[in-house]
Amino acid sequence: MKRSFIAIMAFLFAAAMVAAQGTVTIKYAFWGNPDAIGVEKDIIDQFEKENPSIKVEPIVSAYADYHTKLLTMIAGGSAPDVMRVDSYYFSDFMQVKALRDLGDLLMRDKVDLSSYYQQGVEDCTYKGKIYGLPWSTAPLYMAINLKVLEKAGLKAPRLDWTWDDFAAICKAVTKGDGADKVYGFAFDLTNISGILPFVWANGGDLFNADKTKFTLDQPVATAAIQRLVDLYKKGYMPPETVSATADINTRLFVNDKVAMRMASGMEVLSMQKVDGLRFEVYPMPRGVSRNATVYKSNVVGIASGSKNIAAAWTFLKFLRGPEGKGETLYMQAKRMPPTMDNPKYWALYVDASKYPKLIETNTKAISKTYGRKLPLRAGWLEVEEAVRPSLQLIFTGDQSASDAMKAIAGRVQAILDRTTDKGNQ
Amino acid sequence: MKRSRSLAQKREVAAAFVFLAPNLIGFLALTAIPVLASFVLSFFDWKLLAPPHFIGLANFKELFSDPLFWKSTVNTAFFVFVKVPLTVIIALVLAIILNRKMLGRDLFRTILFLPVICSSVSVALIWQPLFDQSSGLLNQILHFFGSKGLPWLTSTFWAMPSVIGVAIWKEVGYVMVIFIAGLQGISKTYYEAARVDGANAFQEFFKITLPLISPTTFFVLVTSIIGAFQVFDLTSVLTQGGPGNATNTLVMYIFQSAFRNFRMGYASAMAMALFLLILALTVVQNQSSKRWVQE
Repeated sequence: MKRSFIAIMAFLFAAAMVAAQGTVTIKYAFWGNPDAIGVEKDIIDQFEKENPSIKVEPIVSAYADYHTKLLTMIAGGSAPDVMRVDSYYFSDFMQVKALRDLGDLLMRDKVDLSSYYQQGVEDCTYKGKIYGLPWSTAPLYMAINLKVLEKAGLKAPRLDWTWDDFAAICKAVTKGDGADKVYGFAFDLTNISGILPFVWANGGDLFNADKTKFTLDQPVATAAIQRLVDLYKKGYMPPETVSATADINTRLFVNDKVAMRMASGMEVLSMQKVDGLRFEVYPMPRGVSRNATVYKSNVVGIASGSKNIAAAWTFLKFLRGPEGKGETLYMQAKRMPPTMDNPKYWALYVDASKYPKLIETNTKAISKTYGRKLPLRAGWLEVEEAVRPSLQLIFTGDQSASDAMKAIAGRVQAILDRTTDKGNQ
Repeated sequence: MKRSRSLAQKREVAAAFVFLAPNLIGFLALTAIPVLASFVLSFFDWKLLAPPHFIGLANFKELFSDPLFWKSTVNTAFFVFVKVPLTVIIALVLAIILNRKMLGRDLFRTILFLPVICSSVSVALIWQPLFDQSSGLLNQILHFFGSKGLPWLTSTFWAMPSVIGVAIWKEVGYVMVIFIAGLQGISKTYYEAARVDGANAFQEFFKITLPLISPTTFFVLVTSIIGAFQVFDLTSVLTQGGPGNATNTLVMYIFQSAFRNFRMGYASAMAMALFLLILALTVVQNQSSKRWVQE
């Protein structure tokens, strides 16, 4: 009896060892809140069902700590095989070749990059080579609360609306006092993406064409910032604008306390869950330039030091490839707007019974006509850390836009000089 | 006999190390070695992804010409030298009041101590809506008295005082408890003798209470100043260092440099500067204590 038991246990152990040798485990790093993590788990489960010899170990963090954790893992030699990187960090990562060039794999497996929105592919490109596949290619919309507009006797603007239309809406909608006051526009200064659309509309930009010189101190840029601040001083924007966050603006918007706010795909998703909220998403108001809406993507790539390239690539194709099931699952969960211009994905993403009902039409219009990529480059976040306090000082009235940007120009230029890669950015 | 005594001694020493080991290992691994590593890193340029390379004193040179470093140092000093004295004074007054026999004394002590056990992050999250300029409770109270309200967290003038107010609210209970312990250590015979000599309450406080709790006051001042110099969580959640760097403190700038800008060497140099600043202040306090602290 005892001998039989030992024999059976030995057999089972040997069988497990044989099975384990045929299985590859890869690590996949991503960020997300509890809603977002659910769909990632579904994708992993589906992938493992279809690829039983590959196990995917998720490494998930909240966004705030994610890239620090990722960098620490890479520096410590335990980089995940597949990782998502925010495009804000992409150039910094690529200066030290953190991700693998996918050119050979894309060509070998005939991956059709034209399926993706062009802005997404560009955000995955560094020095002419592709280092990942796009994830969450979407605009930073202007969300408009239809109920607040209707109360002020206004209709939703046309697609090609202008700064003057925007200012007129702000003025017409702003009413009341104290806690009951309704404002025209809410945005936050947590990153430069909030202010750049207004600068672009006026013909300015953060950097020059080759992204080596700071140009937010130029008159076309400071004039745009100043006229936005003038709206704030007139009381058309909440007083907390200086310290507002996206969550605070969401709270104001869903409680009908503000007519317009800038909203990412994630924020659109959270606002869609609010019963009775009627809103639409638009491009940013244009000025001399109509390319004034931020269109941004993130990157999912393979670590350059990965020892499981084949398994990692198989998973990456499933997760983000045009033929993979990842995009379908993301669309079913309505996690983000489609990264690919494919009617089947839009049909899954859009819920015709819910607002915003124009999201498909307007997203395509932004992609074709109104969108613009952020001038991302190495040192982007350091530049943002330097510029943000100066933008706050303009809104608090401590400095004019011109003085604030001139004061910070030297510091930003020093950052650009220090972080410039000698190739392209 | 000698041999067995020596063996017994060795066993005792070994036992002592075994019992000390968990704390010692923790201290070495989580404090001493990282501090040493930080000191060494301050002479390197290290962006995490690329290998570190030695740059000598370049980080320190950059530090001394960095206006944001000086701004955050001034902000931190303002926080420390306003918050600490106010906390000590308020805590001492509360301790004197709550050291007497009175109805509800234990309840009041508990209420005042409750903020101490809350995390700084949750305290900041609770206070944030109270500071809201349009609908916050503080401005609602001011409106009731006819005032327009104040831009608590959105003004470069009011932001740091607002943070200081929250910090005092959070920590006054802890300092009060320490003072209560100090007050209970004063013998009542001093006060009885003083009353016999005709001393009034003020004289009792300045001639008896203050001198005799000076060791407690010294301890509170040293620990509070060291803690206050490391303020981070309150400013990080309440104001994110704004508006316009008005509440950007040294530890916040170290955090931004290390974990937002990935400049580990530069952040380490700043951490060393902070360490030396706190060390210098502690030495000065220690030296000055010979004049006013009664043993």
